Amino acid sequence: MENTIKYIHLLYVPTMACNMGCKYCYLEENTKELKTSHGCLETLSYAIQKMKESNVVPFNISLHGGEVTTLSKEEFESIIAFISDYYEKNKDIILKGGFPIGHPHIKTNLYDLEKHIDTIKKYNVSISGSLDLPLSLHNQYRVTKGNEKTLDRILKNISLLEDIPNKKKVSATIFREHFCHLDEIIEDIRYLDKNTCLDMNDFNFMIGFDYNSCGLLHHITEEEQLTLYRKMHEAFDGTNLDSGVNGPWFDEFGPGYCSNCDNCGEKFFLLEKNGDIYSCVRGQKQKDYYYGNIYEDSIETILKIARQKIFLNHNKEELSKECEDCPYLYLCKTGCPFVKNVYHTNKSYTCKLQQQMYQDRGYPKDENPKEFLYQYVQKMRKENSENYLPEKKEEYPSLKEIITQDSKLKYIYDENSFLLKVDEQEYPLSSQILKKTRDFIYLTKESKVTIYMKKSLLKEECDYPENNALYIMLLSGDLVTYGDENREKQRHLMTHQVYKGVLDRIPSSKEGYYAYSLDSLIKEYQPFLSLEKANNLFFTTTALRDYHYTKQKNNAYYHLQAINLPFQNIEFYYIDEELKS
Amino acid sequence: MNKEPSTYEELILKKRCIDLTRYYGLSQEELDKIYQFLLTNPNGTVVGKLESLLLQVENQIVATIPAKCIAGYDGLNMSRVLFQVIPHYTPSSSSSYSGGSSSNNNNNNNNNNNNR
Repeated sequence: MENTIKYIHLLYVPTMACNMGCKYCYLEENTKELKTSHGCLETLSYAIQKMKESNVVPFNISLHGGEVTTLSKEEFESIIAFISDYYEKNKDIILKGGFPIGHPHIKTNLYDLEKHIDTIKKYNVSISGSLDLPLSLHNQYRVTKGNEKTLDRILKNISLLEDIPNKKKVSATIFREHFCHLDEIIEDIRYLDKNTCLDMNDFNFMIGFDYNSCGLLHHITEEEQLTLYRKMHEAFDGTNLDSGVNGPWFDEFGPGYCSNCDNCGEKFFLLEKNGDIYSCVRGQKQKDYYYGNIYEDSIETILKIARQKIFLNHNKEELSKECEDCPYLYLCKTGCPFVKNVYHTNKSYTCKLQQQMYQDRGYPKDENPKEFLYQYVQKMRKENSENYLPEKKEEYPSLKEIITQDSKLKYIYDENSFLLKVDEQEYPLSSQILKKTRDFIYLTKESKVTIYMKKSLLKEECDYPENNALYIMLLSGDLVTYGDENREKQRHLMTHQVYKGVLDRIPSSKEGYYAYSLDSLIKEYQPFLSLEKANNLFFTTTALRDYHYTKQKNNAYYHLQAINLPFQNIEFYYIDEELKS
Repeated sequence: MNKEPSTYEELILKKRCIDLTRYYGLSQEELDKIYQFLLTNPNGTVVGKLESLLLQVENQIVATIPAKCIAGYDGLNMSRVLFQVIPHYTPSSSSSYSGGSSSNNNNNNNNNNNNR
């Protein structure tokens, strides 16, 4: 059963209400209690049970707001007790998934913490609080809804956490307005480390987004992000906060976070008290990040929509050329889709910072970035994967190299020499052994099929073009075992040669090309075609075909790589059906 | 798709859709959706990925269908005039794809119980 379990990270928002009115709140005007008939514990326990029935197991349940501390003491304790009990009861299954067992965790503004301190101590709740750094700006931006200052009360509440064994930490969001006070930020970090019980090695920075600050605050540039990062290292490397500045302070921009996985919709979910499910706090209340309602939709539907929406959100912009060439794509995965869409960019908003961190933290550059890129495009991008197929590295000269070194081989593999026209559609033909894809067409008895061959081709590798011919081979999709080598190949049905003297006299609608209709040939051999498997048509000239076999005799590397027919071809299914009407 | 094709173009389109099931597990409803999409969108394309089919018009995704590509293939591209399959590309031994080990949610900052 464990093999089929899907593990998720669940953020639960038991209340949308908040006792503060921070100037850059991502929820903007939404920090008021939702009208819902469901209780906050009722929704969480209902969701957990419903997920369990669909083999979905949260390995982590964290509480987020609104502001969780605005809950009544009873409600808060009931939820914390539920989560504590959940971890205990599901210990084995979570551990089997490779995840350690945590404690109940809350994200809080710390303003009303005092009310719940007994519950926090009783259940060893871990705390992640929010402060503004420098602290001198805290009272400017992190205020109550009545615009009252909050810092003194928050620092007092932090002191209440001293006796709690679990870690307690804070984070700070950096806008340009904060960035302008880097020296003061450094001093305040030292102050908090020395004078409070906060574990400042576990502190972390977040980058602020200006889209929800009513023009009051401004985001910092990528260069400023780097300056922040470097300044912190200058100040704290080699100090007692060394592990922090080289770890959690900037971990959010490293590869361990949601923004750096392929599809965060597969793992990260935010549940509101009314049952609504969103991607995360960034996507909360955004329709493109709304996955459904736990009371109204099945878990399967919610999971499917989550995966689809994140895929679509990643694909609103074209894949960045910079990301295509980046040896760290395997770590970054182009970043958070929400932020990319807000800023209409196609790469991570912390690209430069991330690259610096990867170097500093010893993450290797990808030796085969094209291979990762192909696989990433396969999974997460709308672009045609064919365009990203990497070249195989061979130990001996590759076929392409051999062709480059032998000008006589060029036309055997040329992509402009043959065009197949089926009704009104033209298909340029290329060598089947150079192609990385298989292209199929469909023919019926009504199809009009014409091959166009470049006129100059009869002169290539041929001293006497009059003796040269368009060389057509038809193979059935049915397989047979051939010759001494007992190799399975497509059954050869027909070889047909059309000499220059004939081609010269057939009118062609295409300048510089001979035209030859295949209709009568296909009709003649139609009874011998496979109706189940794809049949195969090859085109070359008599002289080029001869040169191919000569080259095979002379060059073993060529022989190895061109063991199958190398000529320009098309595979086709023949539909032997009549229209009934 | 249950309707008899009235033109050879429709007949070919129907056969293409049926052949799609050689590479992807699809329900009849999903197959009908793809057939109707290509029937009504002359420039429509179906881009087959490892785990989904994307229905696109002029490079814009108009619908997605979750479906896994069978072993041996990485995907396909299909339209009214094209049926192109991408055989599986085997990465070199030094390259292995990871969807990411992320267990942390940005802005939650719960890396004191983040189950890394």
